[in-house]
Formats: sequence, structure tokens, C-alpha cells
Amino acid sequence: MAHVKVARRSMSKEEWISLRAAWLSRRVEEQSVQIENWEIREGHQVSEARYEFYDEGYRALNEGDYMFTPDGTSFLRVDTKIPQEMENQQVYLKLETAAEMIVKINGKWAGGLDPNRDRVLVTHCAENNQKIRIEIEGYNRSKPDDERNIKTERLRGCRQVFTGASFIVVNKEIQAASYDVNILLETLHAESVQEDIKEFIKEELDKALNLINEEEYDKALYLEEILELRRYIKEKIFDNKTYKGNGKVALIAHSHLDIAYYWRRINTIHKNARTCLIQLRLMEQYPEFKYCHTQAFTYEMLEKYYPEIFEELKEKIKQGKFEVAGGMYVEPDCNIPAAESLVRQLLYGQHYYREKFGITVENCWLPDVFGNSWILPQILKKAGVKYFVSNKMSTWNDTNRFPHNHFIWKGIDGSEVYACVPPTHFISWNTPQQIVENWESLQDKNACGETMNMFGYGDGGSGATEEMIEYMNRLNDVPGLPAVRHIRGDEFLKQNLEGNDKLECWDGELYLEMHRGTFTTKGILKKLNRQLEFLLRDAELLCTVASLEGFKYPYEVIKAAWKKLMINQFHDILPGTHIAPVTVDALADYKQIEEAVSGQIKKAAEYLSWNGSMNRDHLVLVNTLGWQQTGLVFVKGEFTKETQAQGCLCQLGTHSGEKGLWIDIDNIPAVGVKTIVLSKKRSIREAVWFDWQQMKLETPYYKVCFNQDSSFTSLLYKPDNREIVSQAQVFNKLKIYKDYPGMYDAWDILENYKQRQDDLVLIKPLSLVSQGDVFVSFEVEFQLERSKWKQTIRFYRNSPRIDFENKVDWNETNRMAKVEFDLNVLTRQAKCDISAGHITRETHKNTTWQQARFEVCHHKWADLSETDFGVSILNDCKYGISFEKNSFGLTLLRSPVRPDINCDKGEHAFSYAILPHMGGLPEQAGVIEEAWKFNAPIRVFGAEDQHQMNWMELQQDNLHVQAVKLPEIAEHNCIIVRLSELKGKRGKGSFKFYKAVTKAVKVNLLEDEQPASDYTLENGVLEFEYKPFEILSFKLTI
Amino acid sequence: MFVEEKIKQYIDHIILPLVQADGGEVKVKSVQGNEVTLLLLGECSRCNISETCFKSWLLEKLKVQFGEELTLKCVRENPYFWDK
Repeated sequence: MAHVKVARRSMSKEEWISLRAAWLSRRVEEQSVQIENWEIREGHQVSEARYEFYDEGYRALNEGDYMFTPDGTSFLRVDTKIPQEMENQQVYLKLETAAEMIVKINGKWAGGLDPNRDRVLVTHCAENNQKIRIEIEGYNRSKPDDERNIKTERLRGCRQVFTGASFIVVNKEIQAASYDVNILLETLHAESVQEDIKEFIKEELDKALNLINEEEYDKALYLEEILELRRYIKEKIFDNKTYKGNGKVALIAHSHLDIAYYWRRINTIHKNARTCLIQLRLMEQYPEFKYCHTQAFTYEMLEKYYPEIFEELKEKIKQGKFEVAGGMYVEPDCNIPAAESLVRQLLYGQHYYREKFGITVENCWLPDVFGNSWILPQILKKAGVKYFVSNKMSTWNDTNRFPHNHFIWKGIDGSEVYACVPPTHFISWNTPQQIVENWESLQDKNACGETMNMFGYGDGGSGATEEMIEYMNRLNDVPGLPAVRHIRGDEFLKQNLEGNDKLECWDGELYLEMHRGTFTTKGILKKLNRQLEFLLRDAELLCTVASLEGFKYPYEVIKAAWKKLMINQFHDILPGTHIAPVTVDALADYKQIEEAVSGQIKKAAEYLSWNGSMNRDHLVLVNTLGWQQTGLVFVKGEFTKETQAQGCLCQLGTHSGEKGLWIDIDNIPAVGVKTIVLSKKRSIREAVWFDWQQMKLETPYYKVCFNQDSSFTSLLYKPDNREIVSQAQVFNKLKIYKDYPGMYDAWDILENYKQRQDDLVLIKPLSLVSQGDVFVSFEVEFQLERSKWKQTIRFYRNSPRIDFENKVDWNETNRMAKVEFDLNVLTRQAKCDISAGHITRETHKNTTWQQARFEVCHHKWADLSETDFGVSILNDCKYGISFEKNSFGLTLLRSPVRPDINCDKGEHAFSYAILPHMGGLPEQAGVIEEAWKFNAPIRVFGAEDQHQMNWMELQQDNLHVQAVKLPEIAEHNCIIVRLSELKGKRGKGSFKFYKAVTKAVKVNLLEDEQPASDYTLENGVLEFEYKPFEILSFKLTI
Repeated sequence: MFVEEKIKQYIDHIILPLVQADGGEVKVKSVQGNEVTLLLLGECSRCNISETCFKSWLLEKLKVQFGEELTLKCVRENPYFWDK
């Protein structure tokens, strides 16, 4: 006979308990009086502190009325009094809402209301018989992904129904009983709690609830029964010693706050204030409560826009209750920003904390970031940070379980920091299941007997609730659960990790096996971020040099520009995982940065007697890189065909979409300037250096066979007589893949993208379009269903670099564009630039660890090499790349639809280049220098006369001048010089500044002087020792 | 300018930025006679209460701008991962 599954229709004992728990909860509100005469004024936020209103003034708001509008901020108010029957009691304002509200009572910040909390204490701001004015600012969003309150689910939407508000009095004893019962009920629901323990709790809880007579309610009798119920639960369940749990869990209150995501940065000002205020009020209610809050930017905004809350917060910081965590300015993406950006996140973050609170934060708190670059440990350590905290690898990895929760993270240069990857999500609410699950997931129990559990609602702020704290205070009494304690984050890290010799070491990047699309999504943001990183570097260097000649260093402009750039490096902004208006804001910020910083470069140049005009005989070429530049130089600007540059070969052209002049030039000094004299006469040269016929090209470096679609079937590298294209004949092959990663499609790429492709339709086959003394270029055009793609390929007379410029009008949906190169190179390893060094990654798929890395992040170059020969790919703004055997595929464009349905639609201009090289090590074959040149064109100014200068004579080509700036805390005639070792070498370095250096001191990244004896200053020459991939900073007195 | 074009501009320039700030997206599909048909995309496409709250609010606004006789029809267009 077939088995028939019988569905239970009668109530189970657990359901009966649940029902009675709900009845009990209803008695918590002892008195309730409706508040009448509410008024509302609706509008929306247009900047940090400015609102546009839809009405002239306030209107009446009655129960059942709609309130809020899409992207709406509403202001509610009422003038009222505490009802007489509630006098001398603790009275709360109760208002159920799915919006996020901050409440002022009689001009004092009273608390916050949101989907997770519906009451605010009134009586600490008001007295009996006193008139009360309640003012509420509410920001509404329809997607509160950090709430679990069923009651407010029905209110969700871009508009809401006002369900009224009331004064209530809470019976504390019934409330406490309700928490007692509910935590035990949740234990019954906890999958990870043993069945025999749950059976015991069920039996005893049932008996406890039998002590309550719900049918015949008599208040006095009911309260006696409540006391009896609590006594019974305590004696029979909480005091029971039979059912002991294992483990130890530290509970850290925290609220993750995305600076922008499904909301704009301007909305975060309010979110942050609400979050901080709620936690401050909880500290008043629970004196033992501690809360940790990150991101210097959020403190800055609180100080600026909510100074009263900030003053309260400062007091709680002094008392040790409000913990400042995370040394960075924001919680940035840690894949895409360059090393100097990460340095600045810490420099500006820590300097703010020092100035305002007198502290240097010892941890980096990044619970939600999408993987972490290998350069980070060194940067953290040199910025006063010992501990690193990040949750994602433990719960998001889609292939491998990250093997540690507590470990030592060793960086590219060998620097070590203590790392904590908590085993579970950074948003939790202290349920028994979450506590047991956290302990059971801990992988380093032998090394560290305690695990970190962050609790508090987050993503959009909000934080801990009264319920979470009440649960926390009971967890140690619930049978079968690990022991818990409530401490600060820094206490946990110090007590569990510091000096712990049992910790294992992870030496490598912290690659997140998910969110691989974030290296590519919203390409325009990546492109501008990179350009501005370079622009700021140049501006600081030029302004520093000019300041030594008397120019006023633009501290405020540069700092403001850096801060704006850093905000936009936040881990849901730069990675592209946000709604459309966030991109609009970022682009506006980028424009402001560009204008402000370029303006300072112009002023500094003028001070140095150069100017922006090209209509001069003399052209000042500024090379800000640490390498002398000889060979191909692109000078951005408007030139005529007749322009001749002092006997150098030159040719009009473009680079990365910008017009300019290509000049084949000698010896532009490193970190210096050279002047060339322009003439209008053009020397006549025959372009005899190449041969082009029937899709075959020969140049001094190559013999090339093309397909009509611009892919190569053969590329013979003449200096080595070596064929570069493999038999697969995939070389510069543009491919359009169907890209359907699911709900998180701005974030993710699934490996199965390779299974389905669309064809690019060739509409203009490859043809020669430009030729001259310097280069010859070709063009090809394609079409997709809704997109157009034009590619220009450039071969140079005196350089083996082959450039590919792309202009794309991209209007696809769920398509991903890659360009693929299958090389005649046998290797199992790829080298990838990570901005302050490079990482080697396997290209085979032997284990799941390599399989999971089917798309990785790199910066300006990547390389596949044999022992004596290799091929590099350079790029000007692309970060996603895939490797398989002997091929690489640079990811160029994506087009996901969530959270922004129009993501990446529009015009794109980007370039990549192929650079074959002799010698198997790209770092020894000039690849790094060429990649920097590809991204940092020579800056050009007009001048009346000759300028020749070498501001820094740096002897080692492996040392990169990462930053030259004035110190953050101004010191007379002092400058900061930061170098980074890029090639993995150890040795002695030296440099000489163009002005006499009288004193040199090694400093850390916070610009604090460091005791060190590994450098000397003699006759103005600074000599120092350096290690592979080391970042070194010096403060020089000129 | 034709009314259809004016309505499109109003939706694109006034309404769309507000809706986008909440993860939503709206597009005018057609204007036929007095009936405006609007596509609800992005987060709007899965909003359970768009009929009762968003639609009534928008219709009120459209009537103020373009006349009382206007009617509004909203059509949801789910992205692929919300279609079951």
C-alpha cells in the first residue's frame, strides 16, 4: 500500500505554546491612548540638508491617510500632552511604520522608529501637564531588506498608510515574561539545538504557560500569574544544570551602514543619525550595553548635521560604551582602489578619529566587502591597524569553505595582521539558532575558544533593538546554548587574537568566491576612479614642488577631493551595485573632483611659469612617473598636422579617446620636466616602415595576419621570430556572452556564461585608416542587436605595444563583452598587477580553489609568460579578467538589470594593449613601466622658455613614486615622499631631491615618525634599505 | 508638443528620478486617447501594493498636469529572475 503523508490539522503542543506566547505579548501594553491632530508636510531630500516640499505648509494627517511619496521624506508633528491617566509613569510614543523615522520631543532627540522598532520613550523629554511637541522626520524606502517585522510588512511600499500613533504604558513585568517565553519558543524553532533539550524546554514551557489564565482576565490576578510564570521558568528551565551547551560566543553590537546602495548618500545622513541615536538611547536603558560603529565619514556627517547627537556620542565614547571601529574613512571596496587610495582611507579616517576623539583605531572593520587585496595587510599595519575583520568569505563563498575564522593574514610584503572572519552574517538578532550556528561554524576552536557574533540590523543602519539586548541577557540561561558575553569588538580581538601562537597563517589574497561581476559593472565609475587616482597623484606632486617655490599648497581642495573620491570607493558604489541615482551622484562628484584638482594643477603650473596654452614655441612635458621616459609619448591636446617636435617623429592621433600628438622622444627625466620646441614645418618622411596588403601587415616588430573582424590569425614577433597566436586562433576576439547570474546580477557572474554567446555582426571590416611616422592604425565596426562597437588598432614604428581603442554605444541587457587572447605560451601561472605589486595565480583548474577563480581582479596589467618570453595585456580602466590554460579574457562590459535596470547603457571608451616581451618576467621586461605610461600620459604645458628639471633622482627602476605631498599636519618646509617596491626585489635604494634635504625621517602611513635605522642622509642623498613589495614613506625637511 | 510627448517627458523627468531612488523604474508604454499605459519595471514590478498606493498617487499627479479625464493602466514587467 502506498504511503500517504498525513498533514496534521490539529494544533501541536508547540503551536499551542506559540499561541499563548502571542496572547501574553498582547498584554504588554497596559494602557494606550490615541494621539490626535497629527500634521504632515511631504517632500523629498535634494541634498545633505535640503528638502523640496510638495506643499506650502503642513496638512492634517488622519489614520488611514496615505503618507510619503516615492523617494519621499516627510515631516510629521503634533502638539499634545501626556494623558492624565498616564501621569507619573514611563510613557512611550507608539507608531508602527515601515519608514525610517527620527523623533524629536520638545526639541530633544528622543529616539528612532523604523520597521524594527515601534516605540520611543517620551517621558525623559517631557513632564506631566507639560505641552509636548513631537516632531518626526521620516525617510521612506520600499525595500527595507534589513527588517523581519511581519507587522510592518503590510506597510511596505513607496507610499504608506498612516495607522495612527498613541501614547502607551508598558508593563515591564509582562514584557519581561514575554521575552522569557519568546526566547524559549525560538529555542524550540532552532534547528541546531539538540532534540532532547528542545523536548525538555517544550514540556516545561507548556507547564509554565498553564499558570496563566487567559480566559478570565483580572489585572491583579494576571500579574500574580505572570510572576509565578517567571519564577517557574527560572527554577525549572533557566536554573537547570542538566542541559549544558558547548562553546563561547562574544556578542558585538553593530549596524552595517551602506553609504549608498538602495538609497543615495544624502539619505545616509539621516540613516546614520537614527542609528546612532537609537543606540545612545539603548545605552541609557541598558547601562551595560556597548555598540560599535564604523566609518569616519559617518561621524563627520553626524558632527556636521546632528551636532547634539554627536556631543552625546562623544561622551559615550569616553565612557567606553560607544566603540569607534574600523580605521578607514568609509568601508571601501578592497579590490579596485589603488594602494594610495587605501592608504588615504586610513590616513583620513585615523586623523579624524585622533582629532575628534583622541584615538587611533586598531582594527579595520569591513564586514561586507567583496574580497580583499593582498596589498592590504601592509597598508593596515603601517596605519596603526593590527586587526582585520570581514565576514563575507565565511558565508558567501560559492565553491570552497574558507578554512579559518581566526588567523594571521600575511600580505604581499610579508606584513602580518590578525584576522577575524566571523563564521556567520554580520546582521543577526541574537536568536538561539544564530548563536548555536555561529559557534558550530567556528573552524578554529582549538586555536581560539571564542567566536564573534555581530548583532544588530544593518545594511541601511538601524542596529540593536531592545529585544536583542533582552535576548542577550537571557542567552546564558537557555539550556543547550553556548555561553555568551557582551563585549566591545576591540576587546574581542585583543583577548582572542593578540599573541595567540596557535593561529594559522593565510598567505595570499582574500578572494571572495562570489560577486565577480563587481570588477566590471558600471564601467564608467571604474574608469573615472582610476583617472582621478592618477590626477590626484600628479596634483599633489606638482603642488608640492610649486609650494617649495612659494606656492600656497591647496590643502583643503586636495583633502576634499580625496574624501569625495574615497566616499565613492564605498563597496556598493565603485563596484556598481546600486540604484541609478547613486551613479548620477558619483558622476557629479567625479566632475567636481576633476575640475577642482585640474584647477590646482593649472595654478601650480602657472606658478612654475608654465601655462595651459599650447600656442607657444616651447612645450613643457611633465613626467610624474619615477622612470625616465624614452620612446613613445602621448601628449594630450590640440595640435595641427604641421606640428613638428624638435626633430622627433610625431603624428596626430588619439589615446584612450583623447586627441593629441604621439611623439617618439628621448629622455624625459623621471619625476621631472623636459621642454621641446615645436615648429610648424613638417619634415617629409615616407611611411615606408610598414607594409599592408590583403589583411597582412608587416611592421618593424611584427608580421600579422588578420581576419576581417580584427582578430588575428597570426602574430609573428620578429625580434624573437616567435608566433604568438595559438592554433586556436583566438586573438583579439571580441565575444558577447549571455550573462544571467540571477537576482544579484550587478554583483555576480556565473561560470556558465561561457555556454551561450551572441554574434557580433561585422558592419565595417578591418581597414587602414591612418598612417604616419609613428604609427599605423586600422578600424573595424560591429553591431549587436542594440549596440555599436568601433575598434581602432594601432601598431607603432618604434614600440612593440599594440593598442586597441574601443568606442561602444552599449544598450544590451544581460550581456557581457570580453576580449579573448589564446597565446602560444605554455604556462600554468598568470601574473596580475594589484597596484602595489603583483600576484601570481594558477591558470589551471586542478582543484576547486582554482576553479572558483574563473574571474579575478587585476589592475593595470596581467601577463602569461614562459621562461624567456611572455605576453602582457595592459588596460586603462578594466579590472575583471579570466585565465584558462594559455589564454586570458579581459572583461569589458556588462549589462545587469538589478539594482539599476539601465546599468552600463550608453557610451563607453576604453583601451587595452598587448605587449609581447622577451624574458619571462614581466617585471624585468618593462611591462610595469609601460602599464603606468599607458595610464599616465605625459602632462603638457606651454612655456615661454626652456625648462629642464629632475625633481627626484631615483636610482632604482623597481621603486615607484607612489605619492609626493605635504604632510597632513603642516610642518615648515617638510614634504612626504612615498615609494613602493613593485618588482619583488630586496636591496638598497637611494634618491636625491632637487632641493637640499636637511633631515629625513621614516614615517608610517599616518605620517607618524618611526624609529628606524635602515636609512641615511648624506650630502642630500637619502639611502635606505627596502624589501620586496614594501611601501616606504619618508618625511623630508627641505 | 503633443500630449503623449508631454506625458512622456513628465514621467521621464519628474516621476522617474523619484521612483529610481527607490530602486524602481517606470516607462510610458503608450498613450491612447485618455489612457496612459505605464510599464512598471525594476523594484516596481514586484511591488505588491503598487495598484493601491503608487498608481493612485501618480494618477492624481497626472490629472493635475494633464486633465481629469486621464486614466492610468500599469503593466508589470518582471525581470527574468522574478518570473517563475
